Amino acid sequence: MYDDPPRLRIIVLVLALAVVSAAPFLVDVNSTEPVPVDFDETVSIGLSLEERQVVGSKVSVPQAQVFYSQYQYVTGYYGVERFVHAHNQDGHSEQFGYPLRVYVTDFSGTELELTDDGYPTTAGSEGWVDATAAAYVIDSDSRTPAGETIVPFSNRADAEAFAASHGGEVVDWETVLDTPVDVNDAVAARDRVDSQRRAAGERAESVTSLRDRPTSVVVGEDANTIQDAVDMAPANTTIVVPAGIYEETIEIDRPITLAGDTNATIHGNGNGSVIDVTVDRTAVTGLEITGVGNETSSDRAELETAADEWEHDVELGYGHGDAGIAVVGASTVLVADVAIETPANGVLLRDSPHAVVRNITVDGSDEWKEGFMGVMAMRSPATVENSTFRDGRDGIYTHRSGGIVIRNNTMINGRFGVHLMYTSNALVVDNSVHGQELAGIVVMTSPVGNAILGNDVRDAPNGIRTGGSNSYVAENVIAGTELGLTTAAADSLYEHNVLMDNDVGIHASSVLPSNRVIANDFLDNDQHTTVSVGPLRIWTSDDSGNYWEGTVGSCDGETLDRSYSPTDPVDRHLHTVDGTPTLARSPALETVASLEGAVPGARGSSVVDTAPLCRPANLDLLERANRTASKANDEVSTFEATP
Amino acid sequence: MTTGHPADNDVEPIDREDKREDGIDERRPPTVSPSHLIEAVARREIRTVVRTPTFALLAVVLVAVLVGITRLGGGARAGYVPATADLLTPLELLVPTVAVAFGYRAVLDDARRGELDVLRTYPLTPRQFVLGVYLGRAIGLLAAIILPLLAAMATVALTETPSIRFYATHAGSDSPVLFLRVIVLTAVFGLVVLAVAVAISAIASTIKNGLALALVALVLLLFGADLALVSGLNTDLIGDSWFVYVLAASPNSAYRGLILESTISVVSGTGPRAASPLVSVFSLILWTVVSLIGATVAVSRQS
Repeated sequence: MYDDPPRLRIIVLVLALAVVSAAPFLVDVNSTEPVPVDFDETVSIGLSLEERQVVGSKVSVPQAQVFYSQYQYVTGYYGVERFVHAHNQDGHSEQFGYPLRVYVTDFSGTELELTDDGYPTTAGSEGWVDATAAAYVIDSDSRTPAGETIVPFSNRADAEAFAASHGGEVVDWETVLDTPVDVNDAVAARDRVDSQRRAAGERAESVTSLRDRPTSVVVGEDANTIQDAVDMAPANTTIVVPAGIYEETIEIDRPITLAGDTNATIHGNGNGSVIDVTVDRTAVTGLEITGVGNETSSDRAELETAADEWEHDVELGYGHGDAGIAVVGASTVLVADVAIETPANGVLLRDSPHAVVRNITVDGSDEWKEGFMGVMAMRSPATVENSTFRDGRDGIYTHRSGGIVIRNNTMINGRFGVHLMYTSNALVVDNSVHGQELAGIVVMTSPVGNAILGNDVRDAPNGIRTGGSNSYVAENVIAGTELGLTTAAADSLYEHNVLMDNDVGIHASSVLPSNRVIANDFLDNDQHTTVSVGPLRIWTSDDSGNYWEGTVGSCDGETLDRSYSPTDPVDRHLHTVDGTPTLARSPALETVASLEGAVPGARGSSVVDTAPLCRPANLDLLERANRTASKANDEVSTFEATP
Repeated sequence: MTTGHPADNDVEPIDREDKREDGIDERRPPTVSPSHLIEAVARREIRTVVRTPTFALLAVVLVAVLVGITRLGGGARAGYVPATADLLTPLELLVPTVAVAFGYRAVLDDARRGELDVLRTYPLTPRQFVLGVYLGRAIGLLAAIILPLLAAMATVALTETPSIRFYATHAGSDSPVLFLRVIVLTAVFGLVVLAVAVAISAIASTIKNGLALALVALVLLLFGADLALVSGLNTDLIGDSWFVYVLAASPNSAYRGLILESTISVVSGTGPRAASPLVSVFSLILWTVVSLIGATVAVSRQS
């Protein structure tokens, strides 16, 4: 054998290459264990802020935290069942990837008890346990404010002991994942719309019967003042207020109907509310009210109503201002055909469920900072309809008025048209909100299950700002705003909206990519969509997306064969810059476009519609939108012309 | 892609028919080992590659294209796996093109300029010659593929993923290791196509228009094989249960399947199997070996 260094060199080279090449395939990329994080640091979902405030820190809501293969944030679920529900949703794994690791609250060794409401409380603090290793009690008496909840334990014996005393069945993780979970999701919010409308209609009808009470007292004939009339009228009768100006403030403490004739004006003394209602089944109709005091808040330390501690300041700040009509602690009250001029609230509803406010007009302060709310609804799920709110701060402000119905109103030139705080399951429908100083419809404090439907929002810096989760935002026309709509409400359904002539149509702002955004029409916006930091959002569902003015591609029935990304450097200019459609068709960009939806969860800060619509989805709405465009201009300019 | 030779295409192979009966390696006893010979040929090829600025230019262009796609497609900000998804199709088109560019004239030029005949005076077997040529060109090609991919990888590594500070984050399944897999697989894919290109080069040296043949092979490889698979799938020629194996017959599909299986599926979880890794690897090896044998046969026919 001759000496053969080259052979050796070649063999060494080939071996080295083989080893180096094989190494990346031998490493298990999922071998590092994610460590549980503080739940406060997760992107969490499952309870509204109201619910979290109500249960407070004494209640230990079972939680799950999930590390997804494609989603950079650790996701927190209030209630293991909420994770199960999300996990079984269509398209969930497409956006998030699969769960690399799930940790659930470990109730073993925590002296777990249930409150009278069924809320879990513990003596110590709970740890985390790997979900696959835990034992779960399902169908027990355990509850969260959102409903029945699954209770996890690291120790199976603890689970069995819990089930023995609180009912339920002990199961493993696989069974939990297969458990059907009923969550009030966005579809539930959508399906609720009709019944909620119907219920509001029935309630309105029943309250309207208060107008049919027999007349007992006519002011001026049977009594000198309205207050005298109120004091002498028998219950369930009508007091008639003939035309004229009545300078007084009134307290109604018996169930009567106060009915003004045309041009009957009550002028308060500019101090406090003009009419105070404190009894159920009272009606105030056909009046003009002026001379309302200008206090918008109260500094009284003692509250006559028993508020939860956490909302003490909110109540003082918002719930005790002066009003044209203040309804406090009275249910089923009717306020109709009333015109109020006020530097503070128009109608204040506090702890007054089932009120109906119909066909009223509230004129507030010219400067919103000096004024207050057209209707202030605090813990008062009411119906507010067919009314007009001009100027002032917010047309309608709600605080913990879950289930409130706000429909067919017109709000002009205030700060916000509708402002929902701590209010879930509201129905905000068919309102015209024009020329607001800051925003048309605003939802804050993470509520759930709101339906915002069929509104026409124009000419404001912000159109509709959503919040919370499990909401339904549909059939709205949003035009002429700086920012049309936000998708801050997670796990929500945004469909059949028209975004027209805005600086930005929709700002994708939810950190969780769990919204469905489909069948919306984007026309004539400077930018159809922008995004905040977060993952890529796919705005397509069941192979059907949205209509975007400017898309390129050939129409394949209902949808285009080329995906569209309103946040893409080229696509975003397609409807505004000539020549970009040609550039977009280059093979290089076509290739990139075709791949934009791949591994979505891992991608950052963009929106892709993988099946954009060929034609607008909401032709009726568009036609109506164009009609109201001119009408809205008239409305605002006429109003601005009047002193 | 010239070797800088002044009379590139004008020189017809010199007819050395008369000396053929000598036989290349039987004329003299071997004084050096076969490995030495292979290495010598390889070094010569590397010199050719280094001296040809076009190859360097190709690599530079590839750097620009891959880094560009990584940034434009959003993969740079998103992570290694999204970047892989963005790069996969461009790589499928570019890598064979580059590999063919590196390989298609390797034997052809030697034949054209008569250097084959000069080489034949050395104690060199066609097998050693082909292996040497392949090795030399392969080293050049690997540099031209791996460096741009490393640049793309660096782009991902150096681009910060935007995130919201008050939320806890984690990397999911994304990992640079997954991109290293892409680099290895792409390099292997390039080597397979290079072998095909060398074979074409060897066969082309016996006929006039090698370039045209190379282009035809390229088109067949990129489109033809996959189109054949589509028709096979739709005409029941290939049973559904066999498809995942037959798929591997196309080098492009074998490569694509391996990338999907070893990187993207790791992140996106379960679904229909993208490929049979074993069969795909086997197919790629088979393409390489068969091509190199083909090249050897073609060279020895000319000897």
